[in-house]
Amino acid sequence: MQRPILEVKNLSTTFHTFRGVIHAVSGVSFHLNEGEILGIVGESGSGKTVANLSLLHLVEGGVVQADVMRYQDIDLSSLKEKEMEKLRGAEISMIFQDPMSSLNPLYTIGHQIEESLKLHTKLNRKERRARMIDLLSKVGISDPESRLKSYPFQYSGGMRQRIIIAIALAVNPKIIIADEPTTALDVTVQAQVLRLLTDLIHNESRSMILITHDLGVVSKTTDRVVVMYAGKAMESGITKDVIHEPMHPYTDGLLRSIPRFHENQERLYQIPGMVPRAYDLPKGCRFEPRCPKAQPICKNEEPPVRKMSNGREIACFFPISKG
Amino acid sequence: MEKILEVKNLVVEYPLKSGILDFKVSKSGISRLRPVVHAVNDVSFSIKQGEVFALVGESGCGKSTVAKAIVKLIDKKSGQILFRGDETSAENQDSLNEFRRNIQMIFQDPYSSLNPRQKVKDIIGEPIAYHRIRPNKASVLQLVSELMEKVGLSNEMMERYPHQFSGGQRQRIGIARALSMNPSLIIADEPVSALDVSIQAQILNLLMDLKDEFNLSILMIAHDLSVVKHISDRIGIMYLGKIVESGEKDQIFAEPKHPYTRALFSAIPIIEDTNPYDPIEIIGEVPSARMLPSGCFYHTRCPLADEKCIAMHPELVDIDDDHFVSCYHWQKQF
Repeated sequence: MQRPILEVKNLSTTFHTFRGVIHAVSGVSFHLNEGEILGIVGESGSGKTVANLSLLHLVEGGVVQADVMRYQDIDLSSLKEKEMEKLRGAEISMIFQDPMSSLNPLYTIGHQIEESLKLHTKLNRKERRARMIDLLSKVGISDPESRLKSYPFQYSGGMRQRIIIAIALAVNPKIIIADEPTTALDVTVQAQVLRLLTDLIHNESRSMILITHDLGVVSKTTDRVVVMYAGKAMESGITKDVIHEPMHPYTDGLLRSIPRFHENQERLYQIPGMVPRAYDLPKGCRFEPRCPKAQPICKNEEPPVRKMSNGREIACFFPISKG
Repeated sequence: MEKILEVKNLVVEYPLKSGILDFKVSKSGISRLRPVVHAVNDVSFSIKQGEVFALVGESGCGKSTVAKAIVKLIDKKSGQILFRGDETSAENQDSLNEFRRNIQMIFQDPYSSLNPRQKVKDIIGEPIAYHRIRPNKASVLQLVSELMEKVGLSNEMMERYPHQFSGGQRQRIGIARALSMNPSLIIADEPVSALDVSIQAQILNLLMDLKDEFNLSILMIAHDLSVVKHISDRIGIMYLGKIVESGEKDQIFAEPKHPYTRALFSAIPIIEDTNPYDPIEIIGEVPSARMLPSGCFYHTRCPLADEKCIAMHPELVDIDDDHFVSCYHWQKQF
């Protein structure tokens, strides 16, 4: 089998606060194959964002540990800040949730795209300009030449997210990490942006990690998915398998609690209780207090990650079996 | 069934500051222009007793403005808002109080809609005391504890402050506060969009249970179409401050007629991998509500638009048993 372009094994990120130690991510493993879109899905506080920020050394005040954190042949955990800077934006770039606050309001669009070209490439002024115009038309902005001179406030939310995608693509990165790229956008604009992103990934053999809380978006765009809960990966596998036959009780509950489009339900299934606080996690399985299938063993022991067929992995003593 | 709320030809405008270039020169001299945002442009709908009516649309379409105008948090420019057939004037304080008691609101953001310096018992108890629903302090507290139980919070949480609660619990507090007035209509402005998926289901179920128990009518403002499809009886789809299509939920989801509704539905990310609607790529962006397009507001993005659409705005017409569509070409396919 082909070697994954990005591999993470047993990643843990902890924060020491006055309330105690917060285990934002504890022992998460995942990998990204070339040309694939990997979804990381979870509710707020599940650690999906922190896990990815940890990869790029963007966690402030936290302690990151991992057995393996590898991009191609580079060990990410041993990189110094200077080396990491060369990687960020050039090899792995990130797209953030809020298109309103991730652009600098005081500089023109052109200035902000050019910044990373200046930093990471040896292109001269003319070539940079040609590249920028090329980028803007690629992300579907009409009249790119004059648009370079405009400021972020002159754009709508969807257009700004396109600009951010253009910046992320500027230096031709191999991997794009998109953190809730469409959460702040309207449905119709969300559909446009998701189509743009998937086209850019598939046509230019890049890979992408898509972080989201929206299972609809996951189902529509990703090839594989990791489901996170309270800092742990509960289940991962091929998206279709996970969505159609969830094996972890959390995934199952999550899927059942969403109003389904094709059915008329009287009542929604509800997962009882709430997400545990990060500084006060259950000793055993983190989902145990809310799990309908929990047994005494779940309270005392953390379930190991089990490998199933078809690349499926699940952390549960009593997975849901088919049929 | 009795109509509990009727909105007729509602128009709401937000004035903008006029700049130095906002003037017009005519024969009679120079006059200043007063630019406005046309937030709601001639919206009419009604809600029956015990019904959930959902207003759907993308951000900036005016759906929240409609809600605010109904409870008189903002002034309307023209139109009528009839509650049980009567218009309440803002002048008569007694009738305004009664009106506001009857129509309660639940807000989107459970973090900013509760006073951080008040204990939960005061947050829920204050309106009870103000409207003199219970005669003395002890009976107010009694009602507060009953309400908290109703929404699934335990009594001992009464002495706590909002920051000690999670988002879902705060939304429950907001619901208890709304219920304390024993209202006939609840306006829920995006009540679950700030919540996590697993909590969203809890709150939606709670709302439906309370609706049945108290025979409430609900005006739901939402953008998540899966949620709307689950919870509502009838829906109205808004675009640029106008309702473009409205009717029974099942009918509209089965056969959306307006080109905007069709495009909107085809953009829904659906978990089961098939979206039943024809894929329609919606082009461009919503025009500014400062300068509305001529004719049909949707013509700038509509694949079916022709000269008629640019010239004249289509009326909202009943095409089939309370299914209203505002489009000249609703019968056409793409």
